[in-house]
Amino acid sequence: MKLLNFDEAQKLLQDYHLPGTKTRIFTSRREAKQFAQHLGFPVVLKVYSPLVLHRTERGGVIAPINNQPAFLEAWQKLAPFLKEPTRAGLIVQKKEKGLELAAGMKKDSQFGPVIMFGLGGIFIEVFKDASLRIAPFSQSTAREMIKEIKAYPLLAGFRGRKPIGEKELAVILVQLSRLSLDHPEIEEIDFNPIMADGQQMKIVDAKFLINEKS
Amino acid sequence: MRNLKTLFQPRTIAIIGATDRPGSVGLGVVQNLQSGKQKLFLVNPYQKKVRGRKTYSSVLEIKEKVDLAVVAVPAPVVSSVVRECGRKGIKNVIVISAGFAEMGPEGEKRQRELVKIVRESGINLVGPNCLGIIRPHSFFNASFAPATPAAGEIAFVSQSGALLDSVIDQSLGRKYGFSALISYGNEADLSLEDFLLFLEKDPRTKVILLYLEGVRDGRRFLTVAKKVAQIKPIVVLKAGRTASGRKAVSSHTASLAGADEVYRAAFKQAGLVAVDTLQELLAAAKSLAWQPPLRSGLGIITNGGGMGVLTTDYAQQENLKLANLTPETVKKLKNHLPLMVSLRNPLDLVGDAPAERYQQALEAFLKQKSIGGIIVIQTIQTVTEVEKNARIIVKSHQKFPQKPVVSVCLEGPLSQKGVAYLEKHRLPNYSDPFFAVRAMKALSKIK
Repeated sequence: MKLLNFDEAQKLLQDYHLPGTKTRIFTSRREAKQFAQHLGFPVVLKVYSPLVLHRTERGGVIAPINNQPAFLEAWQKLAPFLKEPTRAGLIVQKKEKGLELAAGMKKDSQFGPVIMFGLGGIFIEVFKDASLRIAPFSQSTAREMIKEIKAYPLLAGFRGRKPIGEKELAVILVQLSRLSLDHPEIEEIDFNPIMADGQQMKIVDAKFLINEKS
Repeated sequence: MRNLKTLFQPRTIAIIGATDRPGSVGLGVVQNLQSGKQKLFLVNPYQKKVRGRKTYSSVLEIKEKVDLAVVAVPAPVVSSVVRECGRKGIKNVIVISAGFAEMGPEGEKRQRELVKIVRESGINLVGPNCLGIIRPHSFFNASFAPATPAAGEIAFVSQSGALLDSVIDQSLGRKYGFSALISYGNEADLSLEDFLLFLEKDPRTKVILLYLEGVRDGRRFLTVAKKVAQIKPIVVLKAGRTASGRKAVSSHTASLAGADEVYRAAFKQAGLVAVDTLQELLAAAKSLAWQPPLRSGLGIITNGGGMGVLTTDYAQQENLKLANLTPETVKKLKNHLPLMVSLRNPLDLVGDAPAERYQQALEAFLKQKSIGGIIVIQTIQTVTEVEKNARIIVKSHQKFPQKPVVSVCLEGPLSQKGVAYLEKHRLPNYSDPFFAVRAMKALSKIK
């Protein structure tokens, strides 16, 4: 299994009208700095390498970066990853705000692609608070999935917070289910986090694992 | 869709492996089939007579047309007798014998050979490694189960045969019965989905119960179960939910029990009612077979506060909403009930409630539009008239047959007769309010 490279992953998101965040991959510090300025601070700098699946554990993410000197310092720190004998790069993206959500796909030997939804970060792993459905499914099934997690009150506007756009989120889940069926070579998908700020959804990180045999 | 009509309604049956040997599967099958109405041919090359009847040394010796063969011979000879069934033109075969895919590589090889033979001969094969099938309505019991259960509306499809035996035992002397019991074993040929499609069209079947360890083809199961559940409620009990349970499954029915969460998702998507225990499966079945669906709020009527509170707790845990009483209902109740009864839902008629009080409460509740069904509870106190109450509950329900009513009464010597009257009139009783609420929940989920 290998990680789909950055550009192909971004293209898949576009093809399925999945809302990615503004992001690009660089090996040149100068171009990266220009893009960061163009986005406006704060930004995030992170490693993208087929060899580094869990980059947070390997110190491969630096955020937030609030100004140019901090950006150059961050680049210095992550630059050693570029020496790995792969098509690695450093990703620059805007620091999105909102509630951290996650969605993903895993293949089940009996049922094929199974779509997962939950809160982002550690919630899925620690509390096992996730809902599942077998692909493909409709918008109304996706809405059920969203309401099914225990943390749903957080999404619905807990203690005066802005409720998040359930319709927009459901579209992401439905599109994810279609993408999974259209591309049997994809074994696993991880959108984590998806930053939800009211109606606006941004897929900050999209990982696709490909079965090299197919 | 496979044509299973003759399999479930054969006129002539060959029993291959028929024997007199006490305690044998072959004898069990002979005894069960002899209690039915089909013409039997006993096949055993080593015994001239079995139970006083002439035997055949092979199905090929039988002159008449044979609709079904039931095979209970040791695994290594199964292939050769099934091959003879093919030559004889028998289109339906049940292989009870174990020793196939559930028994490691050698068994798997044997099963592949068996499948090849039945595919070449166009045979419908049930099993191997199964208990058989039973159709109580047609007095047809092609199994080695310990008894034939009563006829009714419940179909039970089980991956485990022994579990069916116990379900049959428990049903004896009770008021519910079965339209079909199917133990499908290793599903080498006919699969769970084939049986679901048959039951969808079966006029005798009103509700389908499913004991499942794993499915062969998840996506086909999802598609078929979804289609069938639109027509008839399917209640499913899935085993192999834990890691140790899954290990036990692989040596039991040769199927892979996948991640429990994925199965749960599939059941939801297909519109199945998933339950956690065997008792709950049977509890739900009774209500689904006898009562209409629950379409709006729940009403609770009791003569004991504690049972009312327990039931209300369970209802909230299951997200079943209790309806608020309308001013009209309150007015009606006020005219008939004593002052100490507080007029709310759950309604506590108080310990000294005679049958008349139950009647007034039931009819006022059932008349209210936003009450979609009622759980009626009787605690047994000195004045409680269980039998009279039972008659009143049945009578009130008959005036509102479109709303489900279930009863809660801890069955004991004082209440047995009343409970028997209720169930005779298809009004399910539960000895624990928990099961009554779960049954109502099942009634709220179906189409």
